[in-house]
Amino acid sequence: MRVTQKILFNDFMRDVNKNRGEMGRIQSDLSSGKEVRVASQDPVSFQRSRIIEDNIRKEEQYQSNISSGLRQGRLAQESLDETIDRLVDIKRLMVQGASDSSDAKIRTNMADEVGEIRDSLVQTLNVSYGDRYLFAGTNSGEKPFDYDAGAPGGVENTSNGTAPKILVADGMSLDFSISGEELTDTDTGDLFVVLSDIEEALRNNDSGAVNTMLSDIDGVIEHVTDKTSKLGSNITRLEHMFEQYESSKIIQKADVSSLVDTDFAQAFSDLQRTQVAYESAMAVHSKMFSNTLLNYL
Amino acid sequence: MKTLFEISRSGLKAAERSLSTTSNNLINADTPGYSRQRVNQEPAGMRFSDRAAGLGVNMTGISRLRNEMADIQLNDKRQNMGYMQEKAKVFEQMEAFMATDSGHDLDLQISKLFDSFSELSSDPQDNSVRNNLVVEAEQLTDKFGDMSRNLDKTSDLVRESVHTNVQRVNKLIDELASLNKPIVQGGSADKPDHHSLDLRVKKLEELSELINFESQVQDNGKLELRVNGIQILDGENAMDIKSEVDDVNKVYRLRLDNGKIVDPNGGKLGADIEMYEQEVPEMKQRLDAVAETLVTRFNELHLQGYGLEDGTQRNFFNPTNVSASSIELNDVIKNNHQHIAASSVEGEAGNGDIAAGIANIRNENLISGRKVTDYAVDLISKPGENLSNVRAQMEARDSEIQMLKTQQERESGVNIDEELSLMIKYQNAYQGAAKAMQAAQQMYDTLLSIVR
Repeated sequence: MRVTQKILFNDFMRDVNKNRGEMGRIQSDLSSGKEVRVASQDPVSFQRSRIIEDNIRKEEQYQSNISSGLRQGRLAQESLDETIDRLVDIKRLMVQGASDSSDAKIRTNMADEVGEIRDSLVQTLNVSYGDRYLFAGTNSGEKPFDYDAGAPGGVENTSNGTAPKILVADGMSLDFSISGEELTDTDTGDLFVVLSDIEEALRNNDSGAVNTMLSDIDGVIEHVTDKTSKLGSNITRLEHMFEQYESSKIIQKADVSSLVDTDFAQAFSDLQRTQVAYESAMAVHSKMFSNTLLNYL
Repeated sequence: MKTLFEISRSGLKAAERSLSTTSNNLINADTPGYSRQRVNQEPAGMRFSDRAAGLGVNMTGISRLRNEMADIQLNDKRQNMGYMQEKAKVFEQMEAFMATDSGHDLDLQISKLFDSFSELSSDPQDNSVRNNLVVEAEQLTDKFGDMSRNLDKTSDLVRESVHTNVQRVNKLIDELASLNKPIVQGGSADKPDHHSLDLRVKKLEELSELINFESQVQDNGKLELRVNGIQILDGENAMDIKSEVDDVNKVYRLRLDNGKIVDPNGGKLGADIEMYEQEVPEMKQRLDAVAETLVTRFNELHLQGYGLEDGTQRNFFNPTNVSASSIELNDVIKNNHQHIAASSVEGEAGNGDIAAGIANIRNENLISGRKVTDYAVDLISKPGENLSNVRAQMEARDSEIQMLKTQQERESGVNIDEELSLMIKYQNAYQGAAKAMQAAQQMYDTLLSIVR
């Protein structure tokens, strides 16, 4: 078989180029820390990693929604706790007012106090987070509760029945507050109407009416407590979902990493192997090409 | 005795001719297309009445060693290689602007817009959320425009490349045609023109990278070339290829002088035409499909909702511009972010139902039964996917070519050591012949001295 210098040279060049290409690849794998940087390096892994990354971003957004919901929900919860406290205060006043030891003057004072509590409840329930009134339902651009002598109970309610909600998962939303309408609509009638009735009964020094209305205020307290615990369970759910996303994020990030990140141990051993091949190609080449008949002529 | 001079003279001449052939081989050891040559020698002799005697050496010609079969196979592989190299080049360009290692690609922009709507649905009254949403939406439309422009540019570059390659093909065919004359003449005179034959090999090699062809060599050495059955070269008669471009419908036709249409499907030319007519427009079409789907679906939902300021229902994107190159936000929304419709009921500031619905588009199987972002990921990785396929094929083809080249090299390649040793051999032969002549000379001198 004839072996010409050109055959040797071509084979050498081809092998050396291959080795250099391989070393270049390993070098950028190592320096960038990523094995798959563009689609052509591994189309399947690239696509999978991009789709998982999209999902991670989506879930991170849900997490951000949830934390915003949690901040608002906790604020609403605080206001509700406050409301319950105030309602209990009213009940205590009523128990005193219903007893025969109280006289008309004391009852008038009590009526004033109930009025003040009602006013402070209006303030409490007008709580806002940023531009959003938390108890206004979805009509949260305006204050839900306002004094209006003409309205039943002396308080006008512009809230609607739809509680504000946040997007927490694909096609799934959770309420993070109670709408004002739902909150005030107790079994014993409108919350503010009940309060104004109580105030009136006290002002009228009507201990019998105050006595019968004790069950009304109980109903109101129970209603508000109910709603608070409903909100509480939503908040727990949000917290739980947040944690779930957190752990799913870790798993998904690990998936992406295993798809596109460099296996350093593998890369280093590949580098070692290629370098040996490269160096021996160089060595053998210089040896081979000094072998010529010319040296002996 | 006179024959002694004849014999040594033929020996000197043969050695000299052989030496010059060998030197020529040595000098051309690295010349592309060169085939090594050998001097053919035959013993010369004569029959006398009492004996048959040798009368030196006869040179019958110079032969050229080449494996024609390997050439044909090589050219076939080369056109395929050229085809794939060109495709790989264009796919590389496309990948560079469609899927980057920074990750700031179409899929990211789309999902960021969805995220913005997801955030808006949870916080419909927050102005900064709205501002951010518009920024993301504009970045997305910019991305579409950018990709679309880059695809157009690729299309232009490919078109230019077809044009240049057509010119190169024309030039090569002309050169091959002019080579035909000396080859046919030499062939018929039984003195083959090795130089022109080697040049022909080289030109065919160059041509095979550009276009696929079938070559046929007649007995007298005349070369004919056909591209998919259409003749482009017949002896000294070369057809000129002319380009006919329809840039609107992306059609590139190659027409010959005689009106026939050549349709190459190999070589760089075949690859470029395929990229120009199919691959690039297809990418653009898919990109447009994403843009159109987004415009249509976003508007469909957005039109059902209300902004913060009034009861007017608006489009989110400009509904008349649905292609990737022209997609843009509705001007009214761009100028007043309050008009982004998050609410499903007029006047409800805290209602984010529509925004939630738009955010949920990401889960809808809208394009070819796939989600928009999945489709976008598929789209941007398509050039890379093709590239990796082509590269794998190229690697296989490259080793085939290398093997055939080695085969050819074994036959026609110049081995320097071999030529050097031949050189010594011919030098010795020359010295031997000279010695024989010297001996004859001395014999004559001896004879003459008797007379003197």
